[in-house]
Amino acid sequence: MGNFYFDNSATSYPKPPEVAEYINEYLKGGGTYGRSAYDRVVAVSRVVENTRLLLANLIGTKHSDHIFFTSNSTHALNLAIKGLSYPKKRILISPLEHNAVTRPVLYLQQTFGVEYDILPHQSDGFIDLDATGKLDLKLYDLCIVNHVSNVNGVIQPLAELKALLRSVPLLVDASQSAGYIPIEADSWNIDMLALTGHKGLMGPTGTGCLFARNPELISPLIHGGTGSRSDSFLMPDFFPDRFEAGTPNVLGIYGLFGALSAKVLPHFDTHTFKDLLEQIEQLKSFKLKRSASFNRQAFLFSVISDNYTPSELSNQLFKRFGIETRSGLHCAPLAHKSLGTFPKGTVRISLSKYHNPNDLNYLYTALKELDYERK
Amino acid sequence: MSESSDKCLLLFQSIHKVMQAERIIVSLGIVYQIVPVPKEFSSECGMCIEIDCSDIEVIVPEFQFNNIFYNKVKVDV
Repeated sequence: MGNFYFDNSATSYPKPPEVAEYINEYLKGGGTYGRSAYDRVVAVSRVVENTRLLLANLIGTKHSDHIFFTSNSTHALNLAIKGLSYPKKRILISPLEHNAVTRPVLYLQQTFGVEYDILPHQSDGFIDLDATGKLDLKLYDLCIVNHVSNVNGVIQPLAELKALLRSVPLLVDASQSAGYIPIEADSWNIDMLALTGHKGLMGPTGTGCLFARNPELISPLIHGGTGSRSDSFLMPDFFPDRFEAGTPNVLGIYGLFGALSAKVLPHFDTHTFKDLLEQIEQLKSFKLKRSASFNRQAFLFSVISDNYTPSELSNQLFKRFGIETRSGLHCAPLAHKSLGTFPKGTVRISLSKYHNPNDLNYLYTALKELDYERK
Repeated sequence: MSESSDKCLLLFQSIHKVMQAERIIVSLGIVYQIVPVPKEFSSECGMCIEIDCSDIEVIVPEFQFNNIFYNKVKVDV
């Protein structure tokens, strides 16, 4: 039986065995984080802090105390977007943003009158750096970019963009890139980065983090007990405590630690993936929504069909071939508008490191069979 | 009691720093234990590290290199 789950951009499946092992270890062992000093608490605190360290290493930063656990990317993005100040009342966003960004941005607009502009881009949503360089960037308080589009898998040029932005802070949504492609937050000079634990990192849902290079610029989103400075009615002014009120999701963090410790390597190579894309492009009734350049393509893409609506195609793939995909707008209406696929959307196909060449060939064979039936 | 067996408590701002300090102490092969912060000291987190006071001079350079700030308290025995 192959692995026909191609909805890893929604959440990864399968998980490395270490995820369940560590979750089980926590369920058997119990304990909370840092609220006392008996062995059970110390053991939990070690795992939580080692997970923070692994996340810092993963995104290429030395500042592990600037990694703040959240429940997912959406939480992390809200913390950053709602916690910053906007004296210029104007921000830039990429054309391929998810609602995890666009909805908080619209909240800023409606509540505080903060306006937004969309970065100049090419037809696949890739940021046009030349045109961006001609913008008057002094007008902006913030720039937000989805590192990898959750619709067509375009990888954005973060280092080059930040070099143009200079002092304008860059907030990166790494929901679809973390775990799949390298991230170098320090050498790219990324100001803030949000990620989730359950997609490319293959951990459990309910985990994620925000990295902030200058966290003193962000106000906490949630206030409460931190196990530190308990004599004060105010949130601590040090990190990570300032952004981690309440008992953390220790169960989830144990699972995430297991996932990060597993170090799963892809079971297919980029040539096999490229062959898959090229083969699908030969099918006359299908059109791919992908990066214009394979060098900027992550392991996810979309298809649209002449014969089927996205929901019909997704249903055909599942009912007839057992292939699981996601159809529609993928919570990214702005991305679909930018790509010309709004309001119907697409069928998204997103790979796991556990897929092997046979799984990819099975997917192609299924699409080929549906192509033969074209009207 | 000899000077070398005197115990010192290292107090940190956060659990993050306690765990960071513990990793360094382990890497240096120093004997230690994690204990609750005595209530007579300003408690900034629930735990602190107890070591032989004579090991402090070995630890200090590593803590400085890693930007780990701490308060040292000698334990009355």
